[in-house]
Amino acid sequence: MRALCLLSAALLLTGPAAHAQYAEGGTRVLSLGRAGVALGADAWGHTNPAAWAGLAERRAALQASQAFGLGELRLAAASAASPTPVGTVALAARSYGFSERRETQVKLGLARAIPLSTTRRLEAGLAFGVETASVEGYGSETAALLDLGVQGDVLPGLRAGLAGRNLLALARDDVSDLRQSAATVPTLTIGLAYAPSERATLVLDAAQSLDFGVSVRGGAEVFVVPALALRLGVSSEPVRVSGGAGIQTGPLRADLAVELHETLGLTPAVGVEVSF
Amino acid sequence: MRALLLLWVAASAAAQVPDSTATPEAAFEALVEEDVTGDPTELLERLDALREAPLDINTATAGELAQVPALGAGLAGAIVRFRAARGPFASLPGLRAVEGVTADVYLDARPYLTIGPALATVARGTQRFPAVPSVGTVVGNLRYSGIQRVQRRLDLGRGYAGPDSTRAYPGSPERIYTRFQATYRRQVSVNLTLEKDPGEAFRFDGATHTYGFDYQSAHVAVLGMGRIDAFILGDYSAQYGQGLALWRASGFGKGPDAVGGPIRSGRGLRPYGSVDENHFFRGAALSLAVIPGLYVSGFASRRSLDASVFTPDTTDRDDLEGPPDAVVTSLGADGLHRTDRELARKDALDETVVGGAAEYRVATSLVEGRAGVVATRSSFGVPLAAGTRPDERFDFAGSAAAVVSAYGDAKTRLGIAFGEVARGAGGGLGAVGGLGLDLGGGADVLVVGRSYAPDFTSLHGYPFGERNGVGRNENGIYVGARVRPSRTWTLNAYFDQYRFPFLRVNEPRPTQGAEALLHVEHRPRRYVRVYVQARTETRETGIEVAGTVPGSVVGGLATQTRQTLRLQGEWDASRALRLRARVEGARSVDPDATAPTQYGSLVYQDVRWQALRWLRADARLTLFDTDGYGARLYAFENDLTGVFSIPALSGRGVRGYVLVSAEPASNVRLQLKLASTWLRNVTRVGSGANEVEGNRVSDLGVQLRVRI
Repeated sequence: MRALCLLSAALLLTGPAAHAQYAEGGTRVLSLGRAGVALGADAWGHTNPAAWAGLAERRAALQASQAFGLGELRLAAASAASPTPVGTVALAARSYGFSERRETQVKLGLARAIPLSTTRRLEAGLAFGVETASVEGYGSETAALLDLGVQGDVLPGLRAGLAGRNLLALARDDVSDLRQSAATVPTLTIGLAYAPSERATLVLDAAQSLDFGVSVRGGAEVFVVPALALRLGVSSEPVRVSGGAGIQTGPLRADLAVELHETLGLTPAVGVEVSF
Repeated sequence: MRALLLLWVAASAAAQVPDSTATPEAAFEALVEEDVTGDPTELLERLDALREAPLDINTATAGELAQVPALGAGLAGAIVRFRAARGPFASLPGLRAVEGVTADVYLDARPYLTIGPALATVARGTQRFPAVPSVGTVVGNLRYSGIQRVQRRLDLGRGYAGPDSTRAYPGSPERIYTRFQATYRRQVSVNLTLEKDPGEAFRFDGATHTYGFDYQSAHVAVLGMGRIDAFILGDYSAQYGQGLALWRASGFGKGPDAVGGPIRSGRGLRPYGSVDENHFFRGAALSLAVIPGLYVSGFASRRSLDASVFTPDTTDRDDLEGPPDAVVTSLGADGLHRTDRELARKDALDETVVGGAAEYRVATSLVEGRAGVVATRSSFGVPLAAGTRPDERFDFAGSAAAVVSAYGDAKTRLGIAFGEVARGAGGGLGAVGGLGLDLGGGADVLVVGRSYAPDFTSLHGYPFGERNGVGRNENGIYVGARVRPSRTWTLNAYFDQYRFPFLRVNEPRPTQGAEALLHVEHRPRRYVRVYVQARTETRETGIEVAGTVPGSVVGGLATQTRQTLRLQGEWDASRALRLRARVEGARSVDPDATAPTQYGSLVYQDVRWQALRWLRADARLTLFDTDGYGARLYAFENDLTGVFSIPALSGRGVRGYVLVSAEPASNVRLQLKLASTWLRNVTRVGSGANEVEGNRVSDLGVQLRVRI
């Protein structure tokens, strides 16, 4: 309980930093300043469920992070997505926290590409899920989750994405103290991903959260060699700087990310993905 | 789940949309900033009517063409000059030959334009006046239309608590709008408009001119037939020059169209059928073409206005200290007649207006323009009382007011020059003038100066200025520029410096301010549009100083700054699907130094889905978060045809709406809009009798339009 009190105090002091504790959504996106609503072919579909639609083959991913180096803020997550004739079906789960407070989330998603013309297509996705928050000695509460998103190539090399997360909570104003999880705050995100060449991608997002204002996020990914990608990112509200690397060898990819919060310090994250 | 997904965003490749998506709503969305001048509903209706009955590019006057948002006064003049030099256009795309009519301009203007049969065009070109159709032709080709609209708030305030409540409104919460119209091309219009505002009761009371609906408007009009430029019986509006003496329709004013917005192009006498209950004339109006190019107009109006009238009680000692006769202490403006107090103000003041104008128009290959004079005299059944506060020193008082003005404009290949000078009631002078230059290379610049003396009173004027519709006590200089460095980039910018040389309400000394806007738009493809817009305004405003009377000369002034920065992207993903997103931030520095600076932000996602040829859906979800009203943000919304909606969003919350438009037959349009706003951390929304318990306010609107 002492750790819980310390954590609560820290988050209260940092205001919108409450978002920062959820170092989730894939290590690649974390190292890009959490900007990724327009990134396609992503196994996590966390920022935008439409990203699942771009997967050409089945993919599974694991991630672990420890926000600000605190053991109480550990997060472990897994995601798997499989293209099917009706679209890409995805299942994602994560567990966050420690024995005295734990938040568990499970999502089931579907995404598919919709042809608009002979050359253009729109990728759309949705995810349903539940999140359960439990505090030792106080019980637990469960909330339903709904994410929607679209992506598309607006111009050659330029991709745009729109997504809404936790939309079922939009009209709710009676959230109990127990359920006040920043992970379930409704958020609208718009963003762009620009690939000036095959070896570089720039991303820029603006995310408006219902409880934490607007956050602008940007990042860059450069493949130094085909097997090694270096990433940098920055975001506002709260101010964070991040960096990381990814190594791709055959169907296997390993990612490392480090995020520096202006007040709370470093958050490391590691992840692996495999295509099959 | 698949069905749900498909329902949500499916874009049927087979679905079709009209050739051009330019609509009055789109024009508003592109040009409107935080507000518009005048009555936006009237402007929306006018643009909608223009779309229903497009202008013939071979016969339309420059004044008519200037009403097309994509053209404006400059391009309208260029089209008329081109026509005078080279003869009538052979086809609509022939407009592209006119300098300045780019592909984008043409596409945006096309829904409002048409071209008549070639033979008829030649015949018309040889006529001195527009042809007069036979009565049989008119009657046999009348187009009838009817609109029935019902809107209501779903979450009602205390005003609708029931008959037992002392604050209850007598009427139902619906806003009901009914309109019947018969038109023949653009030459004949017969119209009846009826409206009841929320809370107003259906009743019959001859004393307040209430016959069922609280508001009625009707007219019979003949336009552009032979020598008759306009002949109107019933309700009408008058617009001349730059609006110093007469102007009651709307304009876009300051906004992203930096070189077009401030220029006005008076249309003379025009029939009125909108729902602004205060700003129109009622009577008879006639405008004749004495010789080709010379138009003489006269009009007379007598109608009743909402007003608070003080009638002294001679048996009351206190009243004996006031004015000996009845006087008007204030004029009504909102058109609401729900409570006993509001009903007592209804139609309490008779106003008679007579006026006339003479205008000469010229259209040659070198110059297109006009010059004219206009004069009006208004008289009131009860005199308006003089104010007692220092800032009311120059407010109009008395029972009669006259205004006379002279105006003119000229458009040439080099640009446009325009101006108007007026002498108002009380002898004060007002003047506005401008010069717009085409610098070549896609660059245009506009300079507009204005000087409205504190004692210049024009009761029916509505000139360009910082305070919409208040052409008094203001001096200012506006500089706007538009640069098109390439086909895909457009930059608009303006700077407006203004000063109020005399006191205003709660401002104990003369004040000043400045406003600037930068709008950069990029259209890399026909189906992609992105723009960035930054706007800042700094002005002095009155603040309370401890120990002083608010508004007294010893009160204080402080500088208030409001800034916004917007990024918007729009992608026509297909002929059936349009996606749009906006992110915008606001900053407001409060004049009271003890209050912190306010910040606000907004993100919205917007989708338009033309599901079928006859079925379209618009939906938007907005999340906003502002520290207070000072950092409020505005976002224009699509609404029922003819309804203007640009809500101010403040606090923290969500706003969403869905608008469904169905046209099951070519002459039937059915629309439904549901909009809701949820606010966080509040238990009540609104104030007074409209205060709602809870954190949600929802509105529902339904409209049916039938044309025969």
